[in-house]
Amino acid sequence: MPHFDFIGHRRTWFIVSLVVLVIAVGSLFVRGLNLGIDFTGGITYNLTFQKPVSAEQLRSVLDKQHIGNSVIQLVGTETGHTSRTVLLETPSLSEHARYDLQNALTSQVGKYQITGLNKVTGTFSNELVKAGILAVLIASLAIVLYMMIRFDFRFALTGIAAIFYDAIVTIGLVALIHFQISQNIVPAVLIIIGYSLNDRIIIFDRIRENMRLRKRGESLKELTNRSLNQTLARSIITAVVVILAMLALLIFGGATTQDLSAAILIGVVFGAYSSILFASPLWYLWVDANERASAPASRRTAKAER
Amino acid sequence: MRGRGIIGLILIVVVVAAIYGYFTAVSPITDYVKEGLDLKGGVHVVLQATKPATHADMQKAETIIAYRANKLGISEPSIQLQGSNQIIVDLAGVKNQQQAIKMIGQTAQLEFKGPNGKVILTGKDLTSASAALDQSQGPIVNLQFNAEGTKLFAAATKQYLGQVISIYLDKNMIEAPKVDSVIPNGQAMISGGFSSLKQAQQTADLLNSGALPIPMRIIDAQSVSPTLGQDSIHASAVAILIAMALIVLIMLGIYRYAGLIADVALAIYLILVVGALVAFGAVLTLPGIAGIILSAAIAVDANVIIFARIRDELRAGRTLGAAIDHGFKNALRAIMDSNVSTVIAAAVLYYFGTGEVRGFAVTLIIGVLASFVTAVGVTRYLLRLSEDTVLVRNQKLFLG
Repeated sequence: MPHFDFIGHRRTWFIVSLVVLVIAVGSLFVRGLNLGIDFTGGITYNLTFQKPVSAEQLRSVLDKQHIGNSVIQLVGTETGHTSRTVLLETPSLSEHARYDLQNALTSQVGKYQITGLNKVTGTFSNELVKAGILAVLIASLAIVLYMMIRFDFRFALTGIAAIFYDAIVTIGLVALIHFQISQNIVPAVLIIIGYSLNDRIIIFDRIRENMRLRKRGESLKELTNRSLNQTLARSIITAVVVILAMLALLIFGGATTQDLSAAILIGVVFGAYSSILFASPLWYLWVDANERASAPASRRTAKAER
Repeated sequence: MRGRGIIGLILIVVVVAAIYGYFTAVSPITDYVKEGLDLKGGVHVVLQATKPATHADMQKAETIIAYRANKLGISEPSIQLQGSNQIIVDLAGVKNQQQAIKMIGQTAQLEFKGPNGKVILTGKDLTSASAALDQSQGPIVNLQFNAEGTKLFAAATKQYLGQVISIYLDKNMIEAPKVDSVIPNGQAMISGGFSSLKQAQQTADLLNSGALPIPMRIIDAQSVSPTLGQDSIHASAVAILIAMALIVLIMLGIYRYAGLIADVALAIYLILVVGALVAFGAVLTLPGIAGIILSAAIAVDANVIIFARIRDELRAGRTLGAAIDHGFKNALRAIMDSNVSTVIAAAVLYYFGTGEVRGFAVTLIIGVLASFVTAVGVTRYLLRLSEDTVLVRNQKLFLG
């Protein structure tokens, strides 16, 4: 078993956590999220080519125009891989960019006619976002209640705080790197919350178990450190497995799912970090303060560690 | 008997491999699983206002159509405003134009007419409608009129006391009750027109969604390929296979024989999840796949936790059999707490969420249940089966 002093360095970790949080929230407000066409809407083209074309052909042209995450739908076919009629939704483009795109399509894909050109709104409305956030908040309440019953309110509140920390940091860092997001951000955030919840419970379970069988004279700091070290191998193995799997999805997955894997990747890294270096020190701080308050003054000085 | 465990494991691997082979090569599983708009495509419907419409009208119409689609259980439709007077509705799992039109073009035009055929009240005068199962009358819809409607209804029941007021739904008369007394509280009930509670509920939902503010006509409806793009879906499928292969190899590398068992459990997990999706007729979308990915991660984690605990017990000097028993016992509490809280959270998400959030919640619940059965049940069974094999002598080979 390794013997890292996680709790001893808690100030360092709190500062790191805080800096990351400030950067994340700051980016969210200053840079903002780079919203894709699901949110902003764009332009739909109804195109009729002279010869059948495939989504791959169109995507490669769009990639070169830096609008690879446009929606390409072949019309009149559900399973076929080519069609003459195509429904293309791109972000709003300048007249110049539109001209370039239309020329590139002619030269690299084939001759076509534009049978329809319309402005469209996003598929993802504010109401949907609000409804989603509300559902997540109610679910968090349920998690807190469950953890209060199975653990106690200190585990429950520090746990949920760290779960929100992970979600906010992930969204903030997505804003920072300015990755364009689609409505895939919803399942991404849900995965991060779920992963974070699982991670928190596994580690808190070990602390809970050690608290129950607490050795005489073992300080809270020793106990928390011991718990974190006992679960460290598991934390690392699980995180590495998930991170590698997500890296595969990020590298090999298509253009329209990359935002999903990128967000999950960030979330999993921070999930693993915050269980050990944010949630647990936070829990320690709280419980330690309680223990000190209830301990007699003479023992307090004897047991004071810092 | 020595080797019984290995034979059992080989047998299970063969069966699992056969199932995978059958559902990829012989009869592709994609033929059984219903897929959503993002993965499979659907019907692209363009509705156009037949009268000049303001932007506010169009937005209201969009909201109403979204509400209806959600209530009718259409999985994650995509709805957009196009140009100044069109609405695009993309529906998954709809085979033809007629079906699409039936689904979104549905109205529930309610009219109360006096004995002289004069319209007294319409659906616009309602604040709410709800379905119920009445002891004597079967499925009914309860109506609550708004202030204006209440006044009109009170006046009408007074005027036509002892006469008949007919109730029309979509121009069909479904009831013509005699007015026995003046009704001042704005409450009414439709009965007799519904064959089932579900139908009554659907009518109530449509009444609640209100009429479209402007008449709309379907000007175009065509089948379209997936919104995620056939090319991206293909790339993602390959990526998922690579990710799965990575997980299988890492588990084997770290835990050797036990890792193999975890991999078999994971393979069975996937069969259970996909089987449940097919059995429930659930529609699979990208958020749904996200739910499966999360529960798969939880399943892998459960095995990592169990193996770590068994290693602890072995290090504490227990025999393998005892270490497996104690390891499972110690790991189970953490796994249970994690699984139960995840299922509770997912159930809440399903109840309060819409569209994407629901798609995620459904597969997460199925996935967590399947992961518990396999990562705990199957792994335990296979480990115990292997207790009496030669491998036990070599713990490095058994658990890494």
